[in-house]
Amino acid sequence: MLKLAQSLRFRQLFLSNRLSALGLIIVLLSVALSVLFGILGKGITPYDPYSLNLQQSNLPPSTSHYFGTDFQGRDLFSRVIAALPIDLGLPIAIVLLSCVLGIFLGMAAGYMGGLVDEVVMRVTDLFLAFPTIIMVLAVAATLGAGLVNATLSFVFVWWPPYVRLVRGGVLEVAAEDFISISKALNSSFYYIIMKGILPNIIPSVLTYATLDVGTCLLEVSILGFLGVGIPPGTPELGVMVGSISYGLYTYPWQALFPAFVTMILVVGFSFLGEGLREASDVKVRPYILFRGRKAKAPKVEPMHQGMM
Amino acid sequence: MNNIVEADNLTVTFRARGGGSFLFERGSNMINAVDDVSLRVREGETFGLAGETGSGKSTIARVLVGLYRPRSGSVKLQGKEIDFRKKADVTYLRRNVGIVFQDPVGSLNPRLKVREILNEALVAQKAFGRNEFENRIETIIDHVGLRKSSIEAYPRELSGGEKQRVSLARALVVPKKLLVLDEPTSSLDVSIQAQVLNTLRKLKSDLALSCLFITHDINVIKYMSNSLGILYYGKLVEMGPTFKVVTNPRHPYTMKLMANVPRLKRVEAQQELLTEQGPSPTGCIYSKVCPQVFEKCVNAPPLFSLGSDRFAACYLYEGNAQMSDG
Amino acid sequence: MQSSETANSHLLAVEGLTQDFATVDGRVRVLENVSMQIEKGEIVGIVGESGSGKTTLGLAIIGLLDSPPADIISGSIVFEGRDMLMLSASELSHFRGPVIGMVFQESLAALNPVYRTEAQLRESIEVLRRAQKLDLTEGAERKMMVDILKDLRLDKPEVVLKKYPHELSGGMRQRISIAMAIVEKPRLLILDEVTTGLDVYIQNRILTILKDLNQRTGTTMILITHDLTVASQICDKLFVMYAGRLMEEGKTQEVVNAPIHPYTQKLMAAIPQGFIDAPPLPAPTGEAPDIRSLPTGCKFHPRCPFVMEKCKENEPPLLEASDGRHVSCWLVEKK
Repeated sequence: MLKLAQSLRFRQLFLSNRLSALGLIIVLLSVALSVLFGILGKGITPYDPYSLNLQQSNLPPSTSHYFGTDFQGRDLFSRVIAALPIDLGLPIAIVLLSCVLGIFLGMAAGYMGGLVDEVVMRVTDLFLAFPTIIMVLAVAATLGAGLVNATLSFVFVWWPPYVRLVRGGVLEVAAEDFISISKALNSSFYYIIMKGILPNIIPSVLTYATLDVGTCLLEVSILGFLGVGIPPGTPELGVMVGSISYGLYTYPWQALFPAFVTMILVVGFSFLGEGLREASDVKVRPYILFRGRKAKAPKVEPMHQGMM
Repeated sequence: MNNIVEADNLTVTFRARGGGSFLFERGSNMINAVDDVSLRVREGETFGLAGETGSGKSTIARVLVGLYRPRSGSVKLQGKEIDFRKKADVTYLRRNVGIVFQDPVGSLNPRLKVREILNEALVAQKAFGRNEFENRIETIIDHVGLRKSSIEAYPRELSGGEKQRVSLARALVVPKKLLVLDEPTSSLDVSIQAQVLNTLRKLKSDLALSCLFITHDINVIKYMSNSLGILYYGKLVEMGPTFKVVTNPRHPYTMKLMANVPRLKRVEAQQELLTEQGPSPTGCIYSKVCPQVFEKCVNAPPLFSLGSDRFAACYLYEGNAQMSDG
Repeated sequence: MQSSETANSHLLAVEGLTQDFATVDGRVRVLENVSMQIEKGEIVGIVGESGSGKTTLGLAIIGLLDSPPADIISGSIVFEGRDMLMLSASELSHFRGPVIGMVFQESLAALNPVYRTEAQLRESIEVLRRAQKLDLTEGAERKMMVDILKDLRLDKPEVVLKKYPHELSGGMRQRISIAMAIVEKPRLLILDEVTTGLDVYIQNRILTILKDLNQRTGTTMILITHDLTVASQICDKLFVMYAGRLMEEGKTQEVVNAPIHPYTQKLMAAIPQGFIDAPPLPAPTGEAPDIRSLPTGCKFHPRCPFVMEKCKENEPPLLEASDGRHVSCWLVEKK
């Protein structure tokens, strides 16, 4: 969808920020690993992440077991890799579904206004009033265990901010002259929405969604930690942290490694999201002010360095 | 000579900005942005509409492209009366009237290339077959004075003047009977404005365009229009051939307006400024501040004819016939 | 140009100011060797189209440019005898407001949308109070606010004080921005495109108010605008800028009645005169150059009707055409 020139500049700007480049690397790497695991399964992990091996239980990190083993003898490193598809897949799916729902409702509210706007916003307010985790627990309890149900329970409380975001964006864009002109040209409703409004709100939604994946990931792992929604025994970072048997100080690596990996993933998405935000802001300005980047042209010694 | 557009007794009303939600909105607080305005745009000519900010000029522009619906009055496009409640009529209006707005940046979708922007017009107006699109695009790009390479550019890669030319191209890629220009050069630097005005004049003769040119700048409008109408808070106070209205204004407001037109070589800004008092709520709309107000002005004056297509809404000219008579 | 003995007599003397700006595409020279002298009590116009560097110059004078990415390469800005560029950030901050004020174009952005006018003005009065160590009662403060709004010809000042920015028209907002700057009683007021975006009648009103102010209080003013007509209404001297350079300077009457630089001539010729039967405007061809890739020699030469071979190679310095009149053009050399 992005034309080459646009994406070249986009990458140039947003990779210039080292943190967001790091974020991008983390995200891409983990997604790649997840996909590989999804296809090749146990083939890519040093050990079988599922099979129990009680003689090998509670081993500290070593050259044969990078992260050590858990209380059931499973190699933690392999389990962490096995957890990636779930710990990435669930939040991404939740955010994606919330996005879609948010775009649909937000667009309706923002563009059509009137009664539709009123109804959608009141319903959104209602849902926003629910405490997130409690609602997820309640819905998960109702739907029963399983990853799909867990995803749905999350989406139930996750969509409202997207409606607000999209509605705000739609209101802003719809007020622009070029939308009025599209109407004056007698463009179809479909055209105005799909080519006029949607492409102009996608950047801000994408940015928010990227940051949101990190938040969602944390919430998913919290639930895993509490032992709700996600079936116990599933390789999932929160579950792994929660299933340490003898306390944190006895076999600390069993909690620390999964927690650390969770942190890296969340941070990766945060950096990426931040980078996206800066890059999309910058598209508007002709001269970009950036911080701490060495200019490409030969540096001339400025005469009054301490001016500001 | 035929009239491209005939607007009679056009009134457009808006609800004053009060905020509040749909359910709790207060009923009345209506303002007449355009109040009982009648004008004629002749074929092949440019009708200029001048006035201060808020005089209603932009509202009239938007009515003519079917963006606003008038509360009362009629609009005829080449003799055909437009019923704003009928979708087919509004479509007809939009198909035959093009518009260019003031802001070069906001007028173009930043996510689309110029080609796609022009395509939108071609697709929406259903005047040409797909195989003719390329040809139409190249022709109009040439007419508005843009380089061929602009077709593949994004709006942000173009300068202000080039962006306005794209807006022009979009308005004319499907030939129109009337081109409405709402402050088309007010956001441009002086030398770019000159270039765009030159292009507009050339387009007008090349394509035999009829235009409605809206601006607050009298210097521009006297250079671009054949006939001139002066608006004051939604009311048309004077109308006639541009030369006459500018050099020999009849309505007291027009006189004040013309005296305020900035000239380059005047160093002292010594003209008497326009007031900020606002319209008169009853009677003649200008009566609150008019230096020549007298008893008759407690009633709203109609447009009196002053001969040779000149009209003024002022009781000073009461002896004459009225516009509605002929 | 001026000897150092007389340098101190000017209110503001910019000498050879050259400035770069760091962008993603590398360093860009935004100002090249700009010099100008402004006397106390004058109203001076800096005229230039987009990309001419006029706004950058204004910001440099008031010291509002961050040092990366804007770097002053050489030159000086001497205000009342002191080189502003040598001052530290904190010293400079004492200048802004009570000594040198600036008003910007986007009136809506300049005013805080959640504060009423009285609160916006109160902020400025606070600066004045601190600078002059005044003791103001609430009544005196109120009177000051009402007086300043009256000076700006705002009807019913008491009502205006209670309004929020979005409740006021563009022209009124602009005047309130000016009020906020004037309240602090600056000795130099820089106005950047304060008339742009408003209709000519509001422009006239603002210009009249500024002229009035200048005559009553003696506040020196720098009016930055792209509109030569606007500048010619109230300015005593004009400086015409193009591509970061000064092209022409002189008394307004002289520049406007007999422009010497071809760019100035073109600028004036571009103003519509006459009626519909008048010939096409002799507008300048092409567009102002991108300052990232300027032509060699005189920056205007690709668009100049009088271009000579010399113009393509060598950039002309500011040459004296007559007393107080300088033009950056090789045509002047012939005389």
